[in-house]
Amino acid sequence: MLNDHQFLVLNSLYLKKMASAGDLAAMSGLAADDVRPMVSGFVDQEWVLDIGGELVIQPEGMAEVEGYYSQALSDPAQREALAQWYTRFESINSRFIKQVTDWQETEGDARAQDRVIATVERLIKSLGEITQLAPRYAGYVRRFERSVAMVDQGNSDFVCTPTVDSLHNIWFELHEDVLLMLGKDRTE
Amino acid sequence: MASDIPGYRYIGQGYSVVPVGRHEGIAMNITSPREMIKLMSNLDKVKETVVVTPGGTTTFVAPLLYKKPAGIVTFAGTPESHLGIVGRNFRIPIVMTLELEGMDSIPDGTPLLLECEGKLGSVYVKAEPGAAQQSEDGSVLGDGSVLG
Repeated sequence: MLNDHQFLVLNSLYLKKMASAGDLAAMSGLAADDVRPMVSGFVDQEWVLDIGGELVIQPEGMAEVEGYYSQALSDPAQREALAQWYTRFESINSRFIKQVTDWQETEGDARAQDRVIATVERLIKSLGEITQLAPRYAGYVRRFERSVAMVDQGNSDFVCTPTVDSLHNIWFELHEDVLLMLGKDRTE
Repeated sequence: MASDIPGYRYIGQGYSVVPVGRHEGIAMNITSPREMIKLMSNLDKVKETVVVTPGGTTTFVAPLLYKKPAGIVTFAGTPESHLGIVGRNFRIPIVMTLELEGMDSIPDGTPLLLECEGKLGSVYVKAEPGAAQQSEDGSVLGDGSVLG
């Protein structure tokens, strides 16, 4: 069974599927010096494939992450609380996807961007309701706030460019994370 | 309905995510995240592959887009989706909610051509060399083949 820090790192790769050790450190909020030896251990156990510094999670590593998820929320009351939160999230998720699509199709229109940011800020507030169920969700808040700040500073790559820690990337990973916590499948 | 083009047989149409013109690749059906990971571990193969997702869930193939596959074909979903957002960024040819005509599935190894223009995308199968093809009006193509 993974310990909490191992889970944070391996889960980051599970959600992204392919990443560098530096990416995993940034996503997990752990120090790069702590992440690198952990990743070496994952490679030795064949949970992760290292292709010249690009790490790809392997089926055995996916099974480890899924095993952790399956036991992460064993209290029925907590599971119900998260399920209720997820129901509310689904409507905000549809809105966010539409707003990001609008932003792309208008080539970064300022009003479209404001709508994306407003929806992310609403989600950040909403995440406060579930960080007591899973304290690691505070990590998503940290990443969202950092990327909102980047967008505010004029770096629009942080709206939805896949190769940076963009708002869309973080949102996508959070969505996947909550689905895994609840043992639900995506419908899209 | 779109029609055949020289050397290719039209097999269906769906939504185009981003207008990137015509691109060719070899079909591979990917039905689970584990199959996607296996393909992702072979980067040379990714680049020549048109990923076909036969199931209703399409989002799980989004990480593959980072490695620039030849294209993506889905039988569900719309461009207003996580997959659409990532595909638009990478300008990958994606045809979503493909409605096949004259066939029920796209077998692995099928050479495909995706034509992504405007809001619609068309999918074609490369005709086998020497295969007789005839156009709707029965005319013979300039390359000696006959459209069918």
